Amino acid sequence: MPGQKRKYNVRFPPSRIKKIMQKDTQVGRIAMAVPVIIRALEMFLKSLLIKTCLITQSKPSNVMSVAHKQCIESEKIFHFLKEVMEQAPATAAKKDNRGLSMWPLY
Amino acid sequence: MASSSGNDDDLTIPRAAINKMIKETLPNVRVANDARELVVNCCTEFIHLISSEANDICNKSDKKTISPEHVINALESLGFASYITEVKDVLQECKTVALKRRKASSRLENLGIPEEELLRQQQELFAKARQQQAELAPQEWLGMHDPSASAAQQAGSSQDEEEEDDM
Repeated sequence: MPGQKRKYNVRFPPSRIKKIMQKDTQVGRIAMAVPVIIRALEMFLKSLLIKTCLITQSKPSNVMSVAHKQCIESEKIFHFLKEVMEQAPATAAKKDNRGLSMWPLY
Repeated sequence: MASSSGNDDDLTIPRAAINKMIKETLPNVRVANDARELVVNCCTEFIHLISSEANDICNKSDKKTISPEHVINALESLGFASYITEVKDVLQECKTVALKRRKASSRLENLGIPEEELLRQQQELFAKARQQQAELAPQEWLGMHDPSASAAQQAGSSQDEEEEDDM
C-alpha cells in the first residue's frame, strides 16, 4: 500500500484475542471489532516499549528495573498496568537480582 | 489445539509474537526475559481494559454486540485517542475486504440465472444422466451374452468412453 512505510510483520492471532476478551463474562458478542483491537494493541505496545526504552537509556547505568515502573507511573494511560507490574517483580526477584530490565546494546 | 494449552486462565498472546514485536520496535535493544514476560501480561491487561470499556459503552448504547465503534469510543475515553486515526484505517480496510467478498459471491449468484432455474437445469441433467445409464445397462447385458455384439458396441462408443477399461 502506498504511503505505508511501516508495515508490521507480526500479526497477533485474532481467535486468541477474542478468547481473552471473552474471558470477561460481561463481554458478550463481538462484531468486526477484533482487528481494530489488534491494531490498537500494536500501537499500545510500541508506545510502551519506546517510552520505557527512552527512560532506560536516559539513566546513567544500563540496567534498571525501576525504568519500567517509572514509565508506567509517569504516563496516566499506563496506570492500569500498575497491578500487573506489582505481580511481576515478585517472581523476577526470586530468580535473580537484576529483576526486570531492559538495557541498550551499545 | 483446544485442550493442550492447559488452563483457560493463562490465556495470553503467544510469546513469539511479542518477541517479534519487540524486535521490530527496538531493534538494537536487549530485553530481559522477565521484561518480555511483563510485556505479554501488559497485552492481556490492555485487551481486558479495552474490552471492558467497550462493553460498558455497548451496554449503554442498548446494543447486544460490541461493534468497532464501541471500541473506538473506548479508546477515546481511556486516553488512547491518538490511536484512533490508524485504528479507523484498519476498520476501513476490513470493511472494504468484507464488501469485496460479498460482491464476489453475489456476482456468482447473478450470472443472470435465478436459483430456481439453476436447480431445474441441474435436475434435468440428472434425469438425462439417469436415462443414459438406463439405456446403456441393457446393452451391456446384451454384450455379456454376445461378445461380438460387445465389440461392436465398444467400437461405437469408444469415442466418448475411452477411459473405461473394465470390460
